Amino acid sequence: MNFGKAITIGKFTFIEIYKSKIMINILLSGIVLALLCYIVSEFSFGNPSKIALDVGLGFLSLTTKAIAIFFGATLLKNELESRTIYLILSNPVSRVEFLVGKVLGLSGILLLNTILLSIFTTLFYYYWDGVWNSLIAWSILQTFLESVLILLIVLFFSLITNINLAIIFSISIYVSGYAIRGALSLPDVKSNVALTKVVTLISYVIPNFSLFDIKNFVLYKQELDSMYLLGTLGYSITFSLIFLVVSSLVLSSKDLN
Amino acid sequence: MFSFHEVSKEFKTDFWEKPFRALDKVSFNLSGGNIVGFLGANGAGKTTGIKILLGFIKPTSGKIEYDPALGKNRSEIFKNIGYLPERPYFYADLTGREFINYIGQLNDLTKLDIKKNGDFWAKSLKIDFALDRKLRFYSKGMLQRLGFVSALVADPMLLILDEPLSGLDPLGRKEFKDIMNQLSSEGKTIFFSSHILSDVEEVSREVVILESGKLVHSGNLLDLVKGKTTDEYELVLDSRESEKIKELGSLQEQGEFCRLVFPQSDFSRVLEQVSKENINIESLKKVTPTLEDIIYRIGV
Ligand SMILES: Nc1ncnc2c1ncn2[C@@H]1O[C@H](COP(=O)(O)OP(=O)(O)OP(=O)(O)O)[C@@H](O)[C@H]1O
Ligand SMILES: [Mg+2]
Repeated sequence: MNFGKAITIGKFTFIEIYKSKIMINILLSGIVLALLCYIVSEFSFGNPSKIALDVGLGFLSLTTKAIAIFFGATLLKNELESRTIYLILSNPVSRVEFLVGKVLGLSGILLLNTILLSIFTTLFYYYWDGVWNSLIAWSILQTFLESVLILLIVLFFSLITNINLAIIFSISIYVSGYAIRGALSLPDVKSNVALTKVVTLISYVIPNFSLFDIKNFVLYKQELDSMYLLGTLGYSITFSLIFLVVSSLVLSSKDLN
Repeated sequence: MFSFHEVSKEFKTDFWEKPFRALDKVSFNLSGGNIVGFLGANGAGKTTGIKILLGFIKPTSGKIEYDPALGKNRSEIFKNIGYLPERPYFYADLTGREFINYIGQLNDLTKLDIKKNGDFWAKSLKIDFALDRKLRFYSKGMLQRLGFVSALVADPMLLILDEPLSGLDPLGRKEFKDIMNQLSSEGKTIFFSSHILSDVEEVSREVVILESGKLVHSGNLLDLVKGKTTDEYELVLDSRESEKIKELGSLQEQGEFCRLVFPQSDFSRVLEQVSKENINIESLKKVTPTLEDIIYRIGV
């Protein structure tokens, strides 16, 4: 694994996505976000800085996930179907370097989106006299890492099914991963030993997305155990690596017809 | 440069159907320094062979071996290979220059070398004027030219070109062939597929011929023609005189002329008749089949 090669591929993947209309979309969503923050904080009761933060972080999380899912589903699929992958793999580049490079490139776009929308959000937050709290940065970081994990999940499915199914599977995994811990505390599940076992088992296999959602802490408690923060950081990175490795294995053994 | 050892490839079409055999125990060795034509009809298995050679797909059985001269490991070997795919597939939103930079960087070239080689080949292949346009706006032939530039930018020892001449105008075909000849004289090896035999004959001394996934010939072009010459002669004469020799062999009327084909053993008998009847001869020559004749006859 030569990281230099992966970074070159990442760079040009980034340039390619950047030059396709996505930047316009990101900027547009920034403007929509600005308007949204303005309207909501102007016309609602309560603490406007909090609302700006709430809307901003929510919007950030939504758009990075959307980009991760829709661009992730086509990231490798387009290369395989239009066979542009041949042009790259006929050079001294391994399939794993190619995969890692593509992921780096799209992650760069996700990062760019995260940074831009975070700037918009914090500007509004400060405009309404919000006070800095390190949890804001944590929340932004978690959102970014979560979107990378989602990207890797959808990428994996895109290698074994078609684009539409990959999107559907990934959204299902996200939704069930988000809800699974909640399911464990439902009375119906609690009272049934077998069901508890099954749900617990599933909760180990699919990532628990509710862990990354720390917006409520940012908004209300304004503090969170740093062990928890580091733990979820490790958790999302571990899951990301697992999906990356599995996708690498799938891509390495595939006939690129 | 490389050799195929009993390479077979089967494709599963449908779950319940018998797999389709696109290549059947193909073995040949490609030595360095030549231009080698890879011939065969549509669907003969040329592209499949090239995909296996480049590791895009795995053979069902058999293996490919690369000459140690190309390199010790995959990375070194692929640095020494330039590839032009069958259809130009490209990144629509990159410009020509960005694409050349991309390929150059993947081959660990310095910025300076990329610029130097890229500009040189872009100029030779007459695509330098369009390097700042997005590939989305390139025509088919322009993509083909850019593809050739990117195959050449890292100065590879071995070029693998899948139908490099298709999609080019007559001038482009000539330019590509000239460059292929020039590269060959610099000691590069070129392996290129085609079904246009006259193109192959123009640049190639060596050929590898496939028919329905089977190897039918690999080696020198002249051997192929020599091995296949018949011991027949053809005599062409004015068709008004055909009456006089019609017992001597099979006659074909071709407009004003007619053509008599006869075996070597009848040679003196035919000549005697010709001089006795005082026939005007248009031409008399040994029947040598063209490469085209041979390839379409060869497997039958
Ligand atoms: N992925 C695949 N699945 C099933 N069959 C395939 C696949 N790829 C190739 N084939 C079949 O293998 C045979 C050889 O195809 P190939 O593309 O190698 O031919 P070719 O010699 O390059 O032809 P052409 O001159 O038309 O480019 C064809 O019958 C083709 O249909
Ligand atoms: Mg072909």
